[in-house]
Amino acid sequence: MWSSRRGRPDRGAAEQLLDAAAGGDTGGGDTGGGDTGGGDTGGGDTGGGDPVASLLAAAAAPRRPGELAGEDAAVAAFRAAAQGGVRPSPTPRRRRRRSTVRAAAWAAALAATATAGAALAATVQLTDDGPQPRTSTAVPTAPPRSPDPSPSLAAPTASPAPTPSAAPSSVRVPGPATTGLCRAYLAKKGAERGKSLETPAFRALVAAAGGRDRVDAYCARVVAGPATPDKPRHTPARPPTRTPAHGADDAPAHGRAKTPGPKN
Amino acid sequence: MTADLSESVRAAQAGDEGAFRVLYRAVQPGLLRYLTALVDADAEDVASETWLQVARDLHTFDGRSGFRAWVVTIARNRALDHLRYRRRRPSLSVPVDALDHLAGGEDTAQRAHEALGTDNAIALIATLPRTEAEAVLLRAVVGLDADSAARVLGKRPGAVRTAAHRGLRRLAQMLERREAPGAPEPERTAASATARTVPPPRTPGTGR
Repeated sequence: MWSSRRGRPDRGAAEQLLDAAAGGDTGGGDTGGGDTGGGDTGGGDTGGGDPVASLLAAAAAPRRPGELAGEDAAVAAFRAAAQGGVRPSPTPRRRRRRSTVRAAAWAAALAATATAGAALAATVQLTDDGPQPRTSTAVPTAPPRSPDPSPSLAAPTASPAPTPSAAPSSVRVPGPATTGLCRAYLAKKGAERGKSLETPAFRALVAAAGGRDRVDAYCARVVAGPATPDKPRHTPARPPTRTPAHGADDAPAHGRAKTPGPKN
Repeated sequence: MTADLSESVRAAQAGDEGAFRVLYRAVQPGLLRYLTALVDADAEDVASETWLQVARDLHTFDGRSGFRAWVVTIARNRALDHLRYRRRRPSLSVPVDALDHLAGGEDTAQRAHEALGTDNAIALIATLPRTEAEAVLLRAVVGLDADSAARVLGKRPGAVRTAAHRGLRRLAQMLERREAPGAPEPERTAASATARTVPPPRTPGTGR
């Protein structure tokens, strides 16, 4: 598949992955056999061959009941608007209270922004690639605030060395998401790691590791340890002799025979 | 997820409550997942605020931009406001049962994407640089085409395509070594992982 090729991405294949995920809201690739080029996954297994396709399929999975929890509130607001009533929408009381708090916080933040705009922009979100240091050409791949990593920003968890003393019984078998989070975590530079653990994206990882100070050791084990027994069907090592066909013929099976249809 | 909603939009604008429900159900799941990647635990609040505004302003929607893109633009503006005054993303409780459950190992017979789980997939995508995460989610989860996603993000379509592809490539790199856990892994250290996943140097002129 396209992801196994290093170097330039195959734009056509990437487009097809994106469209397939967006279009395959239920059955996925059950639209028939057709011209499966490689056929290495045995047909209609949605995203079975390409981990990125699987990831996108999971991300775009059919809706879950909990996701529609706000429907009645939204419809009530619609009804009120349709009747021309401009009365406040019947949102739960909790929301309104939080909105008040939020308004206060917003005002405070606004004041802070006046003086610390740049710092704010830099700390809004760790993974934000927005504020690029346009004027400074010093370190192209470094994080925006490279010149002086103040000690308060430095990672509280220092040692990257895996601690072998950790009880193995507390180690859970990592799922693919854990492994991916670990890779993302380990890819960060030292000072960024501690901060990254405060972001929501990594909270599951902290929980899985059993604490922020144990993430380093945990990830070292997760990434290094091949003995993860989950998902064996996903794992056949590709024979090195097999060169995937380039171009549209190599597209994932479920991305084909599907008319994109009008997007709205 | 990408069905044509224009009929329902027209009906809802005429006051049809059922049509509004159709719109909500069609857009909300992907919207909520997208917002989760931006503001995590506050995603539901931001989504509720978004729908209140949608309900209020629906009569002003002219249909040219596409309903999904219109809703997502509203939601994104609210989410970014949110991030702006919060300084850092909130650290509220998150259900980690999903990971634990996933770790149980009973998923071997299931399809890979079912075993992974939606929440974990979104969390993984959320680790991408934000523009890439947004591009991937708007395309693959919200269901926008490249042009609509570009309008939402205020970028050129080519830049959004590039961001999405870059994000997919990065995800592929993260997931790559899962492919063959039994095979010898030449690169194991954190240092080499860093070397592989460092974002490519940004060339001026792209990405904007």
